Amino acid sequence: MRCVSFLSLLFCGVLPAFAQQADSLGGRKLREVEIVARKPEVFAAGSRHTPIDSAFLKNNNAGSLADILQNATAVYIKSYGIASVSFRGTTASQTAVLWNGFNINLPALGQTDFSIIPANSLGSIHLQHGSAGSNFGSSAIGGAVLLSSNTDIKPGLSLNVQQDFGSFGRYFTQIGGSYGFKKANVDASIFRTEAKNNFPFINTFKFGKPAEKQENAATEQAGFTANASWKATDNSRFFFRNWFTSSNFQAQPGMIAANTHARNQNRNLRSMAEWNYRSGWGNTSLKAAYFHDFMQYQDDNLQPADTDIKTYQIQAEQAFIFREKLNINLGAHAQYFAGKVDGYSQPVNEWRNSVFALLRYDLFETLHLNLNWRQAFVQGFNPPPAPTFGLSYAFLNRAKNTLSWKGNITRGYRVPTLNDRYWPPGNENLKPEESWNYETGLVHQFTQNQLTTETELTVYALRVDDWIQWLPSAKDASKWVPVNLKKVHAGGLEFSGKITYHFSDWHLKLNGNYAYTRSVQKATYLISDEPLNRQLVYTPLHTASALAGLGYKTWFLNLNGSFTGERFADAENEIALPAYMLFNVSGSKALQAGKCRFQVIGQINNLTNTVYQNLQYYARPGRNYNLSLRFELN
Amino acid sequence: MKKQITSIAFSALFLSAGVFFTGCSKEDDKPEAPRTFENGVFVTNEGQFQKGNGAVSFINKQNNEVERDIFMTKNNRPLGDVVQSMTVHNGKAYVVVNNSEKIEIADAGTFKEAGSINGLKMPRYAVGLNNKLYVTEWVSYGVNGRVSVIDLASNTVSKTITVGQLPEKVLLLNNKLYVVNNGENTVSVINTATDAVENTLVVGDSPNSLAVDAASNLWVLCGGKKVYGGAPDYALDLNASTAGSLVKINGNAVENTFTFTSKADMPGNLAMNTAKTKLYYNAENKFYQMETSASALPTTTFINRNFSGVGIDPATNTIYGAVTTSFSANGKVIRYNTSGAALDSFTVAIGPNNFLFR
Repeated sequence: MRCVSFLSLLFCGVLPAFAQQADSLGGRKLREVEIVARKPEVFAAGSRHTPIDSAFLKNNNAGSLADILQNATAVYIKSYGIASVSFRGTTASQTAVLWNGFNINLPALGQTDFSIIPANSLGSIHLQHGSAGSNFGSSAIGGAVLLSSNTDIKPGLSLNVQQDFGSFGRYFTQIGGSYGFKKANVDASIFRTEAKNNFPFINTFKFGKPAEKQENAATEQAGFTANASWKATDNSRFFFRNWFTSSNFQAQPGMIAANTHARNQNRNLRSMAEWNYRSGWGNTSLKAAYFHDFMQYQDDNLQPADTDIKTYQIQAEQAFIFREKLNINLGAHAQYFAGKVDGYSQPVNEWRNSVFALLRYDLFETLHLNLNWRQAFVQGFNPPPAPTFGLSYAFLNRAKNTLSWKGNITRGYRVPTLNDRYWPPGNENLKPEESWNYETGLVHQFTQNQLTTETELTVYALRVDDWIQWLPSAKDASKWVPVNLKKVHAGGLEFSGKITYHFSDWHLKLNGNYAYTRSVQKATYLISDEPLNRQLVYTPLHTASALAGLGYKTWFLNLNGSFTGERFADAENEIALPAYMLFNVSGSKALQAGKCRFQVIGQINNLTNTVYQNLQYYARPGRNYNLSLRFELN
Repeated sequence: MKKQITSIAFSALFLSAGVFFTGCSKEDDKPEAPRTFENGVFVTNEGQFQKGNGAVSFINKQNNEVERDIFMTKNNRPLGDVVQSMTVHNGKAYVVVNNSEKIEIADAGTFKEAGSINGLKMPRYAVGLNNKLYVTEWVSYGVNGRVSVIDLASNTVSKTITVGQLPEKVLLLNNKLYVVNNGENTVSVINTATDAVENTLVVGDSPNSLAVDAASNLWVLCGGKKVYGGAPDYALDLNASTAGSLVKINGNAVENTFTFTSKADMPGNLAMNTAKTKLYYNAENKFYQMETSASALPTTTFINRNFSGVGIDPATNTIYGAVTTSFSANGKVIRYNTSGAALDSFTVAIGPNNFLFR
């Protein structure tokens, strides 16, 4: 593991591809690393990949994944109680969300509500920009969010207890523990959180502009994680991972809409087992997963509507390593949905299978090539094959400076969701969406003594065709049907910069991300009246985030800013929502006494008390506070 | 109104570790000269559900200019979510905003805000009489709807009258208020002197619109009941469904019922010309014209289009057809002359559904 941390210092997030190259060069010492699941970035050479700072994730573990991504990345988060994430000018359903390699998008909706993914359940978060995530399967048109369980279990016993108190009736409680044996690890945690979210605001959209308190925005959530790993022999290892969350979220009404007491309940159980075996051939990986997603929506005007879907998945993958330069992975994946959805009027079952071949060739120490191919087979119709070609070349490779050129071409696809397929009256001619993603860029890394900097610039073009959208049916305008409506061209650039500096007891970390995103409709296949060549709705041209952390011994101060640029609420680009910036600041102090560690974190969110709307006409809280008390025993 | 970020400067952290966003400024809102909304047509536009982008557009008949969202322009705030209909009474516009469960009141001439009526449950249509406003409200699905009587002195509900399920459009005739109950097969008749239901007329299934002819006969257009079957194709269950019908009521008695042939189709948008001698409606995605004296439904198409709303200009008999192809882009209005030939078209806001002529 020592080598890995060294490598992550060198390359983390800049060109993760290097990590694998060095892994294989590192040879036998890294066998322990090889035996865990393959890293997502290994077969995505030349594509853009962003890891989320693990310290930031840990400090902000009481929030949702939406909060983390809003503050630590430049991807666009649409947030109004529900939160969705979109990459490169695409939509939430064109974002794949994977947990330990399995897609966890809700099969009926084809997307993930990031507000109900608790950050505390995640060991690490990586973003894969562009279609390169398609080597994991469907939906990674604009990008993929890769979530992993915690794998960093220390030997012996450890316990942690955390209690947070926040403004607007917010509480978060977590108790967790782990035990590392010689051959096995177990860890588990349970948590509960609630918030009233009854923040005050001025309703400038009502007659008389009354002062109001937000109604119907309270949230409750509880859940657990339970993981185990077992090293059966030197060559064989088992992992078991379980993650359950139960969420009861009121759906915040807009400032212009009536409160219909809408409420969304979700129960999500995700379990998986994995076996990794190392032989003379390479690594063999077998994975099986069972997901049970239940969702119930209700409001004053509707009977409760249930979505109850069980997903069974199995994946087999064999890695072949030749002369530590050539990696070839061959695999097959099968996915089976069994769903009962109010609105479909009968239970539905569907198989979605795929086979894939992944090739990585480390021709020289400085040149890495990557060629992937994936073909999915879906009951009823097949998406196009999804090839990937990527490369990275370190044309400047000095002791202090490394400058690399990278490039990637990928075809992505998105199989229609179960709602697209089975919601009556439906559209039997519906095809999968497909995309071509072209990107190139430069990566620079500098190290001198205690200073490291990492900068990366990527430009891309993304072509999405057969984009699915729901329209009123031509036969009966009261019924909506999904159609392959349009062709969208997106293009832009992504920039990130990172500086870390250590000086005696001080350490400084600066991190910035910026994205420029242009995304327009180029062609329409049915009359929808949406004009061509206008920026798509809710796609800001500019997004950015920045993080500054300063540590001294056991003290830490963090300042965090995010910027969301002007975006249009209408297809005609006549209604522009103003840009806004948000700042959060937090400070912490830790006390260590033997094996016990006590930490206090105080946080002020929306420091400047900015009045803003993320989604048009939805109120957002002003300045608010959070206090976190944490106890750890190691 | 248009807000622009005039400058956004980014300088990355590795270049300068200071403040890295500067200069977000907004153009000042420009004051506009007062305008009056006369000699034109108000168009209500639903907007996309939950998006709060419903609007009232105004088509100026003198210069053919369209103002897309006059309430926003005049009051710097949106009307609300799902703008269903509007009526003008005593110089005031009453705009029914369905999913905001309110009525916004504005001066009909300037469209400056003048109050709001709150606490309505799924309101649909309104009509004014003296110092009262009658509003149909669905209340909820599967229960009886109601007509609320608003006291216009205080803009509060003074009485509620229970009617049938899903009460829709209303019509005042001889001090009686006729209300079509779309969730069943009835028309409620309310005596406006007592504000009580004095009669319930049985018509066809799912009445949706009504009109009165020169001889004071009431015409009620019924969509027919639609029942959908189960999987795998969720097809319309033709045995359980009924065809639409056009019902002529003389006094309190059904004088004639014209039944449509298709059980799948839902006729709608009944309208009447100025002389009250010709009926217009949509059926089978087409638009038809029918003499009130006709003995059968017309078979020849008048205009080959389906509309999301229809209005007939009382001054010229020009036909205004609203066209909505999606709720993610602005809809349009096409004008036709009295022989059904298209004259011109205007882009309005999202989901145009009703017209009001001034």
